Amino acid sequence: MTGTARRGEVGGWALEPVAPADIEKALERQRRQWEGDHGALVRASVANLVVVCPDRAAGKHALAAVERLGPRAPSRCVVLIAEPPQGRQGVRAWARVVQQDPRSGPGMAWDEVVVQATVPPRHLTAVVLPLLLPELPVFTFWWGTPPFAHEAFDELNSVSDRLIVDSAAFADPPADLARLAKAASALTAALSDCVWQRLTPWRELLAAPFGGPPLRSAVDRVRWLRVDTVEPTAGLELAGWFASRLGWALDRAHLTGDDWVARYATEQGTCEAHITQALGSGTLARVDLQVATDDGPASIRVEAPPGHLVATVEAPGHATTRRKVGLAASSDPAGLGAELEVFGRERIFEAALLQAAALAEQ
Amino acid sequence: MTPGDGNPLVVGDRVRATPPPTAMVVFGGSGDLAHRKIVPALYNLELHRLLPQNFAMVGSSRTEFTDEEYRADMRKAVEEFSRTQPIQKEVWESFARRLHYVSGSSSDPDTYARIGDLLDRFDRDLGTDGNRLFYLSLIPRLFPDTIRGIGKSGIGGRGWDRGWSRVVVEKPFGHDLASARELQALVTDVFPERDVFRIDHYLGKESVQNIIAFRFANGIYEPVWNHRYVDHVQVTVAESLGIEHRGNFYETAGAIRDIIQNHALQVLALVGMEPPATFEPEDVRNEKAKVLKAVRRMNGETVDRNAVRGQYGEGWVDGQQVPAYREEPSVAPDSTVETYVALELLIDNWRWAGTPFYLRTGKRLPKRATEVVVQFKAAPHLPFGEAAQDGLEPNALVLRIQPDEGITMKFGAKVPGPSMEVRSVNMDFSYGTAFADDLPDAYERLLLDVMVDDPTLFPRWDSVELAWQVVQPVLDRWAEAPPPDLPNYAAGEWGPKAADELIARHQPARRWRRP
Repeated sequence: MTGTARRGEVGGWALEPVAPADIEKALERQRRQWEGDHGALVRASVANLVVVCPDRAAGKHALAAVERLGPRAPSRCVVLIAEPPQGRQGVRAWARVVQQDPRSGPGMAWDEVVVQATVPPRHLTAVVLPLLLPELPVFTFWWGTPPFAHEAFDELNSVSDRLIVDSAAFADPPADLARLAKAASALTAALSDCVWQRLTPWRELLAAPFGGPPLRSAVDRVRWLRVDTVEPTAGLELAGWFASRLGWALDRAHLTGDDWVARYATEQGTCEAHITQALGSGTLARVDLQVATDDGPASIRVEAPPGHLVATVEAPGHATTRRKVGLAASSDPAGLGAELEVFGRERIFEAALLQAAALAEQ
Repeated sequence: MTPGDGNPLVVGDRVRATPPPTAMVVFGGSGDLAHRKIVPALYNLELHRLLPQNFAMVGSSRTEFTDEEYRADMRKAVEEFSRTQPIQKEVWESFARRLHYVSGSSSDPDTYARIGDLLDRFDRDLGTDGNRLFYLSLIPRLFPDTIRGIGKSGIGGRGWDRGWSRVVVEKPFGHDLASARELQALVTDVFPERDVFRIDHYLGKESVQNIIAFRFANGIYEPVWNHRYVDHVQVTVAESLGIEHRGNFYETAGAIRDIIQNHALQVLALVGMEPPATFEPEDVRNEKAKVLKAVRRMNGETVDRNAVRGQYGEGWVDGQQVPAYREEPSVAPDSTVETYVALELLIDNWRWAGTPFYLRTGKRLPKRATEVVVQFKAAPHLPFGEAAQDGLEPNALVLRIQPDEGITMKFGAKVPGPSMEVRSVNMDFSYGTAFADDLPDAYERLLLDVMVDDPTLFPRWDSVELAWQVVQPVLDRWAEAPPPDLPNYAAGEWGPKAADELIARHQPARRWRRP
């Protein structure tokens, strides 16, 4: 379903603070007002989404992202601006019902709540818990780098079913990715990274050639991997994915400028991996694999012209195949919406993350 | 084999596994179904990266096309019928390069020779690995020549050992029980049963598959899913459309062949089946066959009691005046073909003994709606007093298959106020509010299932034969008995009055749910 949220169509965006205890009443009043004026609303919720931001500026960005997300994954969205309690402590809140543009589908509505909490970190859960809809999973999305060693991180994760980060927005992406991997071992919540989500089409195209001839039997003979990565953690996670799925062991690695060069021991020899920083607007710019087959070297190349991915497979004795697939224009460029459709642990991501972190720590 | 078998980059991942390399031949490749469903479904699979890297398709029919003309024709079809819009130009161009066309007659051996040459070329150049999928998107009279042509030419079927070879057969599978058996003999002479995929697109719908999920993923319903708690079950397949220029087809089919023998009875099987031990294809298909086997067969006398036929007269639908069936193009002015059927069926097994299943389908009904209603028995005692419970009906569970896919549970609730009044209210679940993704088209799911060799959603021969055994006595009786006065319902009404009498005859409180 697609659609656009119309800001403040129901009751208007409450610019004045709503008392935290009155949030539910305010939302209900806005719904009734809309229904009185326009007819029945379909209240839709697939999850509770808590977006944790460090300050008001980030909160504004988060709210804009959540608004774009609504039609795809209508949720009870709580944007929590968790500011350090310097001076006066308190909680301010705003709430609104957002109505999907009826031209884009059924008249669905969902809730957005903004809470600015200047309270000790150990009390943040007490601010959030009353705002969650019952019986729906709680997804906590950390805007920027989560405070891994901070009490607030542990507190909010303790009430979450899934912790979502976007490692591309980390302050120090490789180092923070390694910290995330360490923190993951202590998490009870499932963990995911929007960067991993954005890698999905790349992984699909890279995996597909190994499902048929001539590369089916050569999956354990990848000799060379080069990733031109726009988002630094994307290249690390992609290499981590290959390593964890194909049983590669990191033999040695070093950093040259911004580029990683690594050698993995594989079941049938070694694979050299180069992760090179690239310019661009996507997640990756290009991936090259070289694979040894019984008839000689073969290659898989995936590139990213605007709006598309192109996979080219060359193998001795076979015609070159070239396949172009679309990257659907998304109102959710971060891939957060897709993360909200995943329930349960992503063990393949977790294994890839460990391998990526091992590389990042070099 | 399941997707990703043997590929460690795919196994266990939520990365969508693509099927194995496949060369697909669509007989009837320039026909209506190819335009509306098959090629748009393939395009959407490619768009979502679900087609294998090594894939090619050949369309074949009598119409003369070059490859380029065929691609242009299919592009128009995708632009008109694809569920995703607009068409992504570059994806289309990449996909279209893998579309080819062979014109020729289904009775001409040269047609198959040229198709075979092309398929060999795909194996050599595109790595399609000898895997061949033959899709019979044809009118039934062309089935025999085409199936024999595949077999005689050696391009697939029994003995094919360069990969797998599968055939997809569109409904109707036969015109009656005898012709279905003849067709089965013909098909299995060329393809073993395990390679025959009889497509019933209803079974590919997410909301039909959800019947299985709802029943067997939830512990609270199964204990009450039987004759002790269920008063009766209704399966409704209602269409507001008429026959839409398909007069020639409909005059030889009618509602019972068009809907009841396949869609409605398959849905009945999903609602009535026992829990399968696993979700493996044969376990599910075994349970479906068992319940169809347990449907009590009718004879002439019971057909008169338990079956109602109708035909629409002129009337109004969706604000438009529409003609009577007999006034539609290619329909005989004195036609007695049924455009409406209602049946009462009994299932003679431990679970459903004495609980009737009511099936109805019709053209030119007030709205398009397919749904299953599980009507539970009333509470054994109501303590509220007669006046206080006027608006209270027994619990009902409604599984809405299309449109507005979802589930409604009807239950009693207190009316707010000082007195203890109770009335029925609905608790609604709508797919659109819980799962925001667009529902894929049934053909996308089913084509993928053929490629990955998952026949769970395809009726097996025994189920098809059993379904014909259920409806054949009705067809026989109606062929010999004088029809009622037709037309007997106006377009825009919910069918003939006799259908209301049918459902109410054992218990006056029973009535068809209004979708």
